[in-house]
Amino acid sequence: MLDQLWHLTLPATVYTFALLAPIVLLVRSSMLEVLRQDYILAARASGLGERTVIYKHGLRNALIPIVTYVGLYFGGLLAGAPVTETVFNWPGVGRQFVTSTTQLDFPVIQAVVVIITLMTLVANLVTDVTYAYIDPRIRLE
Amino acid sequence: MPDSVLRVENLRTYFFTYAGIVKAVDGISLDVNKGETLGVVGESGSGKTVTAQSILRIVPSPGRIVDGTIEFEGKNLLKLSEQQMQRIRGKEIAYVFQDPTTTLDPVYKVGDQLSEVIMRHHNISKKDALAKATDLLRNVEIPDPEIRINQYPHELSGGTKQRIAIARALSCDPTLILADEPTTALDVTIQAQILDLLKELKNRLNLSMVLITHDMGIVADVCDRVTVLYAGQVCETGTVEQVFEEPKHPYTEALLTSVPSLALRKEKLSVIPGNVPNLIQPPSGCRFHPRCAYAQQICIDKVPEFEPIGDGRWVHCHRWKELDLKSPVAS
Amino acid sequence: MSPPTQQRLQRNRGVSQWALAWRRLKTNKVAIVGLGMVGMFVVMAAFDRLVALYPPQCLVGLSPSCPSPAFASNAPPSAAHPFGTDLTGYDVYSEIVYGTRAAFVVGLGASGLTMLIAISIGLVAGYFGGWIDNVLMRLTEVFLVIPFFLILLVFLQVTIKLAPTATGGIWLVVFIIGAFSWPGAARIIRAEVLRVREFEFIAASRQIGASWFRILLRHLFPNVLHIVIVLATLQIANSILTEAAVSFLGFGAPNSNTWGQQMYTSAGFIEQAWWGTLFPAIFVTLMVMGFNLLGNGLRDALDPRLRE
Repeated sequence: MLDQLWHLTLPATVYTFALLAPIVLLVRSSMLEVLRQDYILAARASGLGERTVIYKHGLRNALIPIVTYVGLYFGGLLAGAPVTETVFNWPGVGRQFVTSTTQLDFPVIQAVVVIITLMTLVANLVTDVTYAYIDPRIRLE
Repeated sequence: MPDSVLRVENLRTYFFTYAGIVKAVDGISLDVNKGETLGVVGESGSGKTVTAQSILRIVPSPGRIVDGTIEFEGKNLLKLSEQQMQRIRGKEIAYVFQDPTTTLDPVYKVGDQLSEVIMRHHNISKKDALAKATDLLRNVEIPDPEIRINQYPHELSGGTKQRIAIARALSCDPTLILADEPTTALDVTIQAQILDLLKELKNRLNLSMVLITHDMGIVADVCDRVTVLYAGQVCETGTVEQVFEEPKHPYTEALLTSVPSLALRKEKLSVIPGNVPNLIQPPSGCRFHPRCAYAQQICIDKVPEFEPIGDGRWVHCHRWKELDLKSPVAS
Repeated sequence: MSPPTQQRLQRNRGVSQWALAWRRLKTNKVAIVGLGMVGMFVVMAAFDRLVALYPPQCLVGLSPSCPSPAFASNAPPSAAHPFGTDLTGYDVYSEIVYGTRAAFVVGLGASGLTMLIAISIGLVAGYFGGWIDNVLMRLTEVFLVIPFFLILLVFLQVTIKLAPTATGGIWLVVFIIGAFSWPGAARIIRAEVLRVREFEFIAASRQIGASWFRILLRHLFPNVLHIVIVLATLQIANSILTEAAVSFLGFGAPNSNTWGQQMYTSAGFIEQAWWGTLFPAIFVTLMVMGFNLLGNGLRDALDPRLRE
């Protein structure tokens, strides 16, 4: 068990960094968009501290579109990382898929595709529900 | 001598953009006395909003205040630290924004947003703050305030949201209110209601207010004194009676005549010829000269001085003495 | 007023949209670095014979066109072979240089195809709305949900392995990558069309009686151009990376000589002759990075909402 964890660190780190960057960029652009809004200026004009303005009002609003993207990424994350798994020789779905495809083992190929697609769909669904939860403008519909 | 609440002197706020430096406010001076409502009137682009934002020092980047003094109750606001400014914003000077649909945070309940401001400036519990917020909503004549407190901004009408914005401004009993075109984004019937509310609050609470608008009618209705702005500079200042009955600046005369009136039947709508000037490269001398019916060579060459005419009247024009300007509303 | 402020006051000229954007871009140091990297690769691709040390796919030491130095397979980096030699005896450095053109072919080809599809679908769906929009969006969603990379592998395995010696294999890769990458871009373009179509000049052209095709082409498209440029640049990066991944796993076109292919042939010897895999990988990284940095910089410079 411990051995598995040890062998997990490198591929996990690599994969995390790759996934992190687009999210960071998204948060940045969403924040830029939100911070231009009137209610941010209004919060400042009411004397609220800069940190309150940025985190409580800015980030909270900026996160709404982020959640959609993160949800989709999550779905994709589960799609397995064939390349990462192959490189690190990690016995995962991705690597299995690569081997099966090389051998044109169709049942396995089909199975993997169906499973991954299903997971992505579920991730989409969860994202939509979460979105409705955090944005009060989209409730009761 | 009425005591002055706010005195702005020679304010200059520029925007440093990639297209050049936009001199949005270029030498504006104005003052507000206790209990009085000063109207700041001008076209879009005249610098009205930027002036108000400069007073509170919330001018968004790339804007920056580059010159001038802003004296509030004896202190120069431009010399204060950010922390000290935060204690003034919302508590001593409050701001009401133009567009009620964007001035409230859409993800928080109305009551929470009001109580947040109250708790920032006073040391009371959330429960008490919410109670005070409910009272405030009642004061601005919102029916069923207990229900409204728990609602989100998108569930409310424009008029109600603007009342809430006004309530937020009043929440900490400020000395001065800056109202930036509070009725422009509302339809006409609601406009009238909000104006009545403002008048009533002004009388009841003896508020000092700066009311920014482009509508001369509102100025006549609500304000005591008025400052006319054009292209980032002041044209003239005086009491509403003085300015409306005896305008001393050609722009003021043009503004007054361009208001369509049912009472004075004319064949053509009178307009002010020309366009709002480019603030990166404003016209030389008096900025109004390209559109002024009375412009002469001196107006192109020299920037006019800001001259006091006595009685609290000020004019920014080379030819004010010789011009005999007519006002359509003179009695 | 301080002297610097006064100096800046002198600089007063009207500027066009694109000039403004270029100015903004110039101030973004990272984006300029990206631009520089891309430029470097362009030079490498254009003058590949001059930049490389040996003729393409030349058996050093054995073939008459590159007689010296002596033949050495899987030799470590040295003076004659700065990046070493690979399994077959080719000079790794030269092969990498010659692979640059293939990288551009993949990047530009796939990105071009993707953008063509994405623009068409995005414009039509966004402008017409109604059931057309619905159908197109459902189609887009189907493509989005399917794990594109996995399907890509299957397709390539089936098609390329059926005709392994054909030199046109790279075009198949380009085509398949291009044909599957459009959904993301299409959605973004459609969103922008939705935003732009509310502008009054669109309604005005409709009232003059302009045909829908004309409106799409002459009015809508130029206004989504800024988004298209950014998406195209980023898609180039994406396509190159995808091709490298696909080839590295062994599903690429064997004769295409892309960096991914080079990594694949050397992958088996990664422990003894790591240079055969590492250096192509580095170049893939650099090129993808260059286009990504440029694309992000363009996005910041062209985004109309960030305009003051």
